[in-house]
Amino acid sequence: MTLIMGAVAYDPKVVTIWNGFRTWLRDHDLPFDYVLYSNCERQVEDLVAGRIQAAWNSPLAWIRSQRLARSGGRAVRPLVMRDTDRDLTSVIVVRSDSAYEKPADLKDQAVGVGAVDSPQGTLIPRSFLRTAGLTPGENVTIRRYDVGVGLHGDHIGGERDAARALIAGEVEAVAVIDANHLLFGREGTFPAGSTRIIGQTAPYDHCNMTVVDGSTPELGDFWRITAVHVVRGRGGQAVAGSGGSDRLAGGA
Amino acid sequence: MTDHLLDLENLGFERGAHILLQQALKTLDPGEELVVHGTDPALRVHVEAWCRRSGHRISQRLDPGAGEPARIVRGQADLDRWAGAQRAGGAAVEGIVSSPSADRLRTGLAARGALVEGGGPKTPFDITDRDLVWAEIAPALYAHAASAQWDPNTAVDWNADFVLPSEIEQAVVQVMTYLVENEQAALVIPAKLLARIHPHFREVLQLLAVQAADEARHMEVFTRRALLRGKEMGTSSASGRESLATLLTEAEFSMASFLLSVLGEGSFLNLLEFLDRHAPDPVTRQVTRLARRDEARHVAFGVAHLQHQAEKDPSVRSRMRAAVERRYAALVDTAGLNQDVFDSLVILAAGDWTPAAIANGYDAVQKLQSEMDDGRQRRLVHLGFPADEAADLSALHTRNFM
Repeated sequence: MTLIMGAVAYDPKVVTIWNGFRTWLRDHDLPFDYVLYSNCERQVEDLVAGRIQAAWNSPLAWIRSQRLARSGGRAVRPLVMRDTDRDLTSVIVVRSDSAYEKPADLKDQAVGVGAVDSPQGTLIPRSFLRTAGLTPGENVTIRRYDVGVGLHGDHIGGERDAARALIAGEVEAVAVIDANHLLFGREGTFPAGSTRIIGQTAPYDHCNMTVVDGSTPELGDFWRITAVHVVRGRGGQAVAGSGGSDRLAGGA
Repeated sequence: MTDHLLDLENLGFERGAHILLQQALKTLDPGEELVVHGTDPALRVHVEAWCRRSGHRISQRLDPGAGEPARIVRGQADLDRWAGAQRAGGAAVEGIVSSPSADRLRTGLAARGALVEGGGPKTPFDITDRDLVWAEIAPALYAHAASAQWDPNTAVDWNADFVLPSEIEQAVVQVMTYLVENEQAALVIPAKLLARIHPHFREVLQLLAVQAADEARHMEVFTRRALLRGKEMGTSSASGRESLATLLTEAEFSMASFLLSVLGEGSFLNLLEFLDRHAPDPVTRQVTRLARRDEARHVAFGVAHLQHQAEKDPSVRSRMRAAVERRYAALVDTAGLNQDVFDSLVILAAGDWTPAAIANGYDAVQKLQSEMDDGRQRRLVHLGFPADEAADLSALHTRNFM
């Protein structure tokens, strides 16, 4: 029986990615197909309603799946996730020549963040700033760079716009995911030596492949065991063991 | 256990730290630890993000500002990535495999002998069988062809001082017009074929590419000679183009090569020799002589390739026979050679406008056709046809020469 998974089409490359997976998994006798959604919300609804058996969920969609499933008396669980999606952090970045040393120094200043629904670019950094005593709207101004809203931060355009705004002097700090700080430095959005990191969030996890308990447990287990075995045995780094998403669930 | 150490000094990831890190990790076994020192303020954040992407682990989280070294546990994603990789044959000719696209690896455009990561794209090459394209002589012919390239601008003395009677000049223009038309077909056919051949057979692609480049130069020099004294080209007959069109539609590599190179260009060798002998001016002589040298190479590859094929598979000869017959049937109701071309050849061979000279010219063209026939028969016998069958097949060859 074919496992049908939902994925959000946040970029044309999504087709390339899942077509590649589809071909490769089927070549290894793992029946797999996918359907594309324009936004995470509908994908989660269809997952919980049983119209698809699995969904490649962003952190927010994972939380949403949990809540929707719970309200319907069901439960969801993460089947697999990528090792590259584990232990991410977001960082608070300022210009090198500024005087800020720690997040609390940003009191009454403007901080640029990514899209409104981006966990790594907006939601988690906002929460992080609160712990440093900065309450958005009260003693710190949050300036959002909304690109790809509805894609839960899978589009990095907002973070890149925020990064440019920092270099242009439009904001005093920005929040970006650590890997994007690395990327922006390497691609030149942040000229070498132009920025400093003054804060880093606790680690959190990103996307997972979610299934609804009770829908297709045997198929799901078979699929997970085989997929992990195939990937481990044949090379590649796309899929790792399940789990790891609890920290995000607890922290959000 | 001694620690493996790397000191990045003040080098950050914004300026290439990953290169030193990658190199240091390469020497470790999976599971071994590398201790990384450095003073770049963002180093710890970047090491962690980079390791996550690259399949390595950080053994303990560090305070980004603490100045402690980062401890990296070497992963094996880089090794896993290449675990299923295979060499695309060997770089040298001995490394050519019989069917480079037979497995799932899809070596495609990868250099022969390269270590090929799996999962590449499908490629449009449909001629993928060694026996279909290879000839042992290909690398040597390519090397010779590459060294024998000439510059149309300097290889011909375009300023040579001569004046021809207008009828003779007109005959030259007509023959040149005909040659350009044929050279265009001779360019398009190898170009079409080479786009279909798997690049694993690099030397064959190279040879066909140079062959196409040869024809490009021939087109140029014949056009320049045609227009050297006047402004108008000669005529192009429907039947001549019909004959060439049948070459363009031959889908099978070997059969296209057989009809074009062995029979067509083979006949052209005689024609170009004839033009060299009867050229009324030095420029005509030079351009036909240069072209003939190139064409001889094309014929040599065609013959060698078909010979290799026929040795591997005797049924190739019956396919060759069928290809000739098919083409004959397609052209049986056409006029063959453009009459203007035939008459021009007679005039060139006559060299004078008297009845006796014309009669001599006519004889010379008859002799040319007989020489072409001999040449074709000789090559067919070389390919393993019995003499009588070779004679039959040669007689069915297009009257348009090419």
